Order: sequence, then C-alpha cells, then structure tokens
Amino acid sequence: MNVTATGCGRTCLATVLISVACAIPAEAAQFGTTIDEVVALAKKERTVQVANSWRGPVLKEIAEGFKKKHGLTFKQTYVSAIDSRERILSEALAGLVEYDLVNVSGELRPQYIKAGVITPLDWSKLFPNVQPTLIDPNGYFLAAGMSRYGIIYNTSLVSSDKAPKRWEDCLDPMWKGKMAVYTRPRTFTGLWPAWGEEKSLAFHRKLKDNGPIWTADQTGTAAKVAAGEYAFGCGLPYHTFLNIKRRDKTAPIAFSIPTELPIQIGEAFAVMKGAKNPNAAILFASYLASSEGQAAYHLYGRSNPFVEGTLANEQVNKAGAKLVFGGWEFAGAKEAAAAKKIVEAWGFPKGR
Amino acid sequence: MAIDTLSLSRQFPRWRLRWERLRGNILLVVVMAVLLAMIVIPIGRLLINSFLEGHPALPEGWTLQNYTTAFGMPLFYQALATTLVLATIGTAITVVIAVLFAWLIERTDMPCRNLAWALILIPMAIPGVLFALGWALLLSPKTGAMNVFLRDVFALFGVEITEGPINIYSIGGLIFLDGLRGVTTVFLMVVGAFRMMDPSLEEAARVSKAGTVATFFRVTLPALSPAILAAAMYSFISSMESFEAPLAIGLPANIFVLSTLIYFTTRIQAPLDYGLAAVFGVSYMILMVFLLIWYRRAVRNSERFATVSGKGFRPRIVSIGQWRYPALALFVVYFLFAVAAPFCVLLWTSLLPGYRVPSIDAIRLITLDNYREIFATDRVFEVIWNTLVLMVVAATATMVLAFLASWIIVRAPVRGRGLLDGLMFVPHAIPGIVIALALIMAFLTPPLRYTGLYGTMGILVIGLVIAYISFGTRLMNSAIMQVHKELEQAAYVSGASTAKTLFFITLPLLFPAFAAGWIWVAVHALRAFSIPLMLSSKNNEVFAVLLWEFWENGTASLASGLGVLLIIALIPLSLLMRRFIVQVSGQQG
Repeated sequence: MNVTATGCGRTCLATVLISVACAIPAEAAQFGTTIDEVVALAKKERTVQVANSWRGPVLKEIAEGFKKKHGLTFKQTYVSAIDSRERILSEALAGLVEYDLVNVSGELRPQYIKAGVITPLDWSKLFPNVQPTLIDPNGYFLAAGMSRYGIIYNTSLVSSDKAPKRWEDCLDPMWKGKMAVYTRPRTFTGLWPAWGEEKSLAFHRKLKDNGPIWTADQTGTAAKVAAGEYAFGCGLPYHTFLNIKRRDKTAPIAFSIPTELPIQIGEAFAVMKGAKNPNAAILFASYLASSEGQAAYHLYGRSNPFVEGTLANEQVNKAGAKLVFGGWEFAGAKEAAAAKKIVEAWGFPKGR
Repeated sequence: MAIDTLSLSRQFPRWRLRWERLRGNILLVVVMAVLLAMIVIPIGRLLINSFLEGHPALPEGWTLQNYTTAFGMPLFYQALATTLVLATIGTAITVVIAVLFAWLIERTDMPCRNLAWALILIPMAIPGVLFALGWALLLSPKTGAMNVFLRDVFALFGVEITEGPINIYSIGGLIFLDGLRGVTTVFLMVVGAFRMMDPSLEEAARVSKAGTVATFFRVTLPALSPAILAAAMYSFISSMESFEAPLAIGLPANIFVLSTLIYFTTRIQAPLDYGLAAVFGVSYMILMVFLLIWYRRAVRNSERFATVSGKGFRPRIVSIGQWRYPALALFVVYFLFAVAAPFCVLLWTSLLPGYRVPSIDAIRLITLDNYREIFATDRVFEVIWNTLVLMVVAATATMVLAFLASWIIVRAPVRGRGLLDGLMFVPHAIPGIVIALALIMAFLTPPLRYTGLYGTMGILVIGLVIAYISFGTRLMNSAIMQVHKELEQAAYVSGASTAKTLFFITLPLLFPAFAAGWIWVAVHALRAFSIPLMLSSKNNEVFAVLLWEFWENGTASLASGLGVLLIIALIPLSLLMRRFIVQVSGQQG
C-alpha cells in the first residue's frame, strides 16, 4: 500500500516555498543622519511600536504630547520584568523584530549590544537639548524614566513611626517572615556602587537569614502588601506603589524613602535593528527624554530626581535622602555581575 | 498498489529503486519526518545546549560547567526531593479520593449519583493556575478568606490568633492542591474498571457472609488493583510534572520543584542561565523516561491479571444503607474544595478593585469595572482569538497526526513501525516546561531558526502537539484495532487510494474516538499554561498567559475576572467530553 505523493508533494513544496519567502527579511529601513532627515523619514513611517511597561494616565499624556509635537502616534505593548525583554532579544535573534523601540532591562543591555540587535546612534548630535546624563556614552540607549527604590508598607499593619527607614531595618528580626523581597535585585544593585561588594554581600546574607518571603514580581508584591499579606516589601520601586494606588485608591499602603535612595535608569530605550519605523522611534525616544516628555513621567512615578522641580526631586529633598546612582558606567555588565553575586548570596540558582 | 520490486530492479538502477520504495512509503516518511523535526531536534538541541555556555543563539563555547554547577547545587537536590515527595503524597491522596468516589458513584446506591458523575468532571474546567490562585486567595496566612473565617470561629471559643491557622504557602499546601487536582483524571481511569468488573468474586464473598466494607477492601479493591495501580502511576507521573501550583504557591514560599527551578532559571533570576536550565531539563527528562518505562512495564504486567473483560454483564449495585447520605456529604465537601470555593473567591475578587477579605465594608466596593476593563482592552480580543485558534489547530493537528501515526503503527505493512511507536512514547516522558525550553533552544538555532516560527502561534501549536501526541496515539491505536481491516480492503478493491480510504472510510468509523481525543486536547489546550507561558510573545499570547500577567502585575481582580470567564467557557466543553468518553468506553454514565 502506498499513498500517492503528487498531491501531498505539491502542497508540501508550496508550503516550503511560502515559508522560505516569509523567512527572507525585508529590506532594512533607512536611518536619518541629521534631525531634518529623521523628521522627513519619520513622516513616511507608521505608528511606532514600543515595548514598555507604562500604565495609566502617563500613556494618554505621552500620546497627546508626541502627537502635538511631531504629528505621530505610538502603540505600546506591555512588557514587564526581565523575561519579556529576554524574549524580545531571542525573537530578534530568530529574525522576528516586532518593535521599533524597546526599553531594555539593565542586566540585559550588554547582551543586546553583543547580539547586535540594536542600533547605536549619535543622540547628542541629533538632539543637543537632551540632558547628557540620559544618553548612553556608546549611543545604544537613551534613558527616559528613572526608578527610585524604597520600602512599600501596609499602613494597617505597620505604623509610620515603625516603618523601616533604613535598609538595615529589613534585617530586624521582628520582621522575620513578614517582609517580602523581589528576587530580581535591582534595588540592591542600585546600592552596590555606594556599598561595595563586602558590605553588600554581608547585608544580603543577613537579609536571607531574616527569612524574607521571596517574590517573583514587584507590582504583585506591592499588591500583596496592600492586601495585608506582607507587612512590607523591602526594595520596591515607587512606580509599583503608584500602580496599586491608581487602581485602588483606598489601598492601605505607603512608600517609605530610605536614607540611602538607589536610583536606576528605569527606562533605557534602544532602536531595534530591522525596525519598521526607526526614524519615528528615534523621534519618540527623543520626545520622552525632552523636557515635555519628562514632565509626563511624574504620572508614572519615574520622574528624574536629579532635575529640579520634578516630583521625584521634591520627594527626595523632603526626605533628606542621599541618592545613590551608578550611572551608565555601572548599568550593564557591572550591574549584571553584582546581580549574580547578590542572587548567589540569597541561595538561588546563580547565573554564571 | 504495491510496487513490484523485482520487475523494477531489472529496469532501474538502485537509487531509483530506493526512491520508488520511499515513494511507496511516503505516508510513513512524511509522518516520521514531521515527528522527528518536532520531537528529536528540540530534544537534541536541549542536550547540546546543556554543554554550551551563554545564550542559545549566541553560544560562548563548549563547557561541562553547567553540569558541575547544577549537580553541585543543594537547591537542585532539594527541588528533586520536593518533587518526589509532592508526587508521592499527592498521588496517594488523589487515588484514595478518586477510587472512593468511583466506587460510590458507580457501584453503590449513594443519592444523586448521576449528578455526581457530571459534577466530578467540572474540576477539569478549572485550569491548574486558577485553582492555585483561588486557593492562594482562600488560604493566604494573613488575608486568606478561609483563614479569616477560621480565626473568627476560633475567636468564638476564646482562641485568638493573628495569622493562619493554615498556610497554603507550604509543602503541605502544595500537597493539598496536588491531591485534589488529579482526582478527576484518576476517577475517569478507574471508573470504567468498577463498572466492567466481573461480579462473580463479590457475589461469592457475599454468599460467604462478608459485609459491604469487607467485600470492598478484600475483594473489590484487590480485583481492581491493576487498574488502580496503573492510574496511580499515571497520576504520579502527572504530579512530577506539576507546574502551576508550585509556581503560584511554591515560589513565594521558596519551595522549588524541578519545573519551577527551570522556569526560575530562564524567566525570573537575573541574569538568566539557559545552560543551567538545559541541565535541569535533561535530568528531569531522564528521570521521567525511567518512570515511564516503569509505568509501561507495570501496565503490561497488570494485563495478565485482568478481571475486567468484554463480557456483557453489569455488577450489582451495593447498598451502603445509613452511609448513603454521609457519602453524598463527602462528595459535596470534595466539590466545595475542588470547584466551589476557589471559583467563588475568584468571582468575589473579580468584583472588587483589589482583593479584600469578604465583609460588609467590602460588599460596598463591589463593581463590574474589572469586567469592563477586561473587555475594553483591545488586547483581550486578540488573546481570545489566539486561544481559540490554538485550541482548534492544536487539537486538529494532534489528532490528525495521531490518527496517521496510529494507522501506520497498527495497519501499515511497512518497516519502521516499531520506531514510530517508540517515537510516540517519547513525548509522554517530557514535562511541558522541558518541551517549551527545548523548543526555545531549537527554534533559536539552525535549522529550525529559518522556519521563522519562533514567537508565532506555530511554535505554540507544535509545543502542544508534542505534549498531547502520546495521548492521541494511544487513544487512536486502540480504536483502530477495534475496526476490522476488511472495510479498508473493500475500498482498495474499489480503486480508492490510501489517503481516500483513510479519510473517507477509516476516519469516519473512528469518529467517536477521534472526537473524544479532539475535545480532550482542546480542553487541555485551552487551559495549557507552562508551554504558552514559556513560549509567549507579542503575537501569540493566550488566555492563561494574560491571566498570569494580570496576577503577576498586582491586578488580582483582573486575573480573577478573566479566570471566571475562562471557567465558564470550559464547563460545557468538559461536560461534552463526558458524552464522548462514555461513547468511547462503551459505558452509559
């Protein structure tokens, strides 16, 4: 018995040919080298596809501002944590480029550069008015949001006078089994430049011994603090606090700013190689880094504490906190190395 | 239609002869090629990656370091031990409950038995992740609704406690969830045996003045022990693969099992480590292969002691007298724990802006805003569409492939059938999380990288087909064996081709089995979690992934709303499956 191959053969051949045709990458879009060229090319492009984690009113504010300034639109695909950025990297390596602009997590920035999936640009030449601290010296990234990390506590369970105000308070045995710690240690890699390796690792070994509840997501942790499951989350970003408050105004939580406040580049945007709308993406990133774009960031809790007049700056001054910021030099390979050591001190599988 | 090789050899060179032979077996060749590409390449890639440093698509050279690191990690052994403990105790609980209900529903005069038969299928409509999230909301030590209720009850007796008394975030919590989860499957595996068993042994026991309980423990159970053992081993293997509850309940308690260790290494920890995850995956797979070989041997041996035969008899209904209503009450308690309680807490949470312990104050906050928000998100419709496409395509592809493979294994007089049979057995030994990891690695590297399937619905379909093909083949193998080949031969004599015969004669005859398999795969595809979660991307997000994303991002109320909608969609499918199960197994339900 046999099956006639002809019908199947033709169908299979057609399928293979279509697959091969689909796999051939389209011609790469052209990048403008001057601002005029970028603007002109952007006008011919479509909606900018952005991978980021904005939520709430910031989206509308940015959309209106960008439209007003450049007459262009953007669409955000919500991504959070390290795994979704890792996924975008993997997709790009497999030839699938869905986004024009990606907010790349600190620990993954060296991998994105090494993989050659993002485009270096002369941002300062294109946009001389953008704050120099927001521009990656190697040109791969343009920062917009700044994350500040503190302690989110449940006001029904912890009175404001007992709320932790220093990182060492997380080591107090009274909190054993009652506090949550997010397993991605961005808060603590943020402190690393000030603390150094020895102090950091000693702290993390003690933190582990104090029996924290390890959590795998930061906003979820803040939500459980709000629900009263944990007394507080040690090392959570301010924007997660805002996310909870925006949905549930009566949520009994507060944000405590510790005496040493780690600041991380929370949003570092890179234009993907193979992006379909690269020039519009450049304009969008530059809009976010501009004074108009930065003004919207207070809605999302990621305004720049180094800039006078921002909400973050006011909060920091009011609390009298000392800012700890590693800058571009620390973000990337050094941060990834610090993260490995911290995770190892916590006893989790370590990346090598 | 067979090719006359002798005459061909006189006319054509050897290569042409081989080509003609290949053409003659084109169905086998195509099916084998598809399965090899789907199964062998990913597994091979997983193995290769376990010896590579760096990202799968950007390897940094060969190394044994992944193995020395993995095997030097105390956490690896802890996870292994936890996995085994969880599976052993969870299976024991599952089997006791399932066997008891199979007996009560099938063989006793417990009231509402027919309703119970239908209700016991409902847990299948609650995806594992929702079941775990529901119980997390019920039994979180401080705010869990059930814990708060228990504390209030204790307070009435003067016992004041501030948290607990039950902590779901513990090994005990995981065992409890695992024990309840598998009941429906084990019930379905043993209920047929209870119905079909030869009653003469029980009747002899009664003639010898043995009571109902004595007859159950000393005659019925031993007589059905092969079927129960097979179901227990199947349940043990399923528990070994458990992922949802260990992810939602285990990780917050720092309790790792093998599946969550892989997830943690490739999705949560910073930096991610694929090499290490590959070692965990390979070790996990080897362990599962041994377990499956053990299972197959036990099942094969058990057939020698069959007490269930094809004779047309029906065992007598046993009267349990005054225990009729306590038995029903026991079933109601099970149903409350397995379905009603988790569903109600999800429904409650879906009606609030954020989770609150049930109270009068909280009732004032009730709103439908979460449902409005769900339907106002354009992404939700895309996700629903993706989920439906995945369900239909995965179920159809799995069953068509399973049908073709089974037909070759059972009927086709070609060489290589044994190999195909073996190949069909392999996926059963690969946990979903390992399938996903292997596919990530395979589709990020040549040759599969050039298919462009990474990040598409296609890779999800492949993942689910691999996960369910073993089940489909087993089902179709036994169904094909029951259809005599005379009908196919008549079609050949009438000039029909093999393809025509297969799809217009054989397949319609096997429709009940095919439909039962299709619905089984569709239901499982709809509630699938580990594979879609690991392989999800912008364009292939499905319900379960969005639900987990909502939960992870602190919007438990949105996750609950989505979960409630999913459960409502799954209930009719689960009930529909009963009809086909009954039809396939020749039972009347």
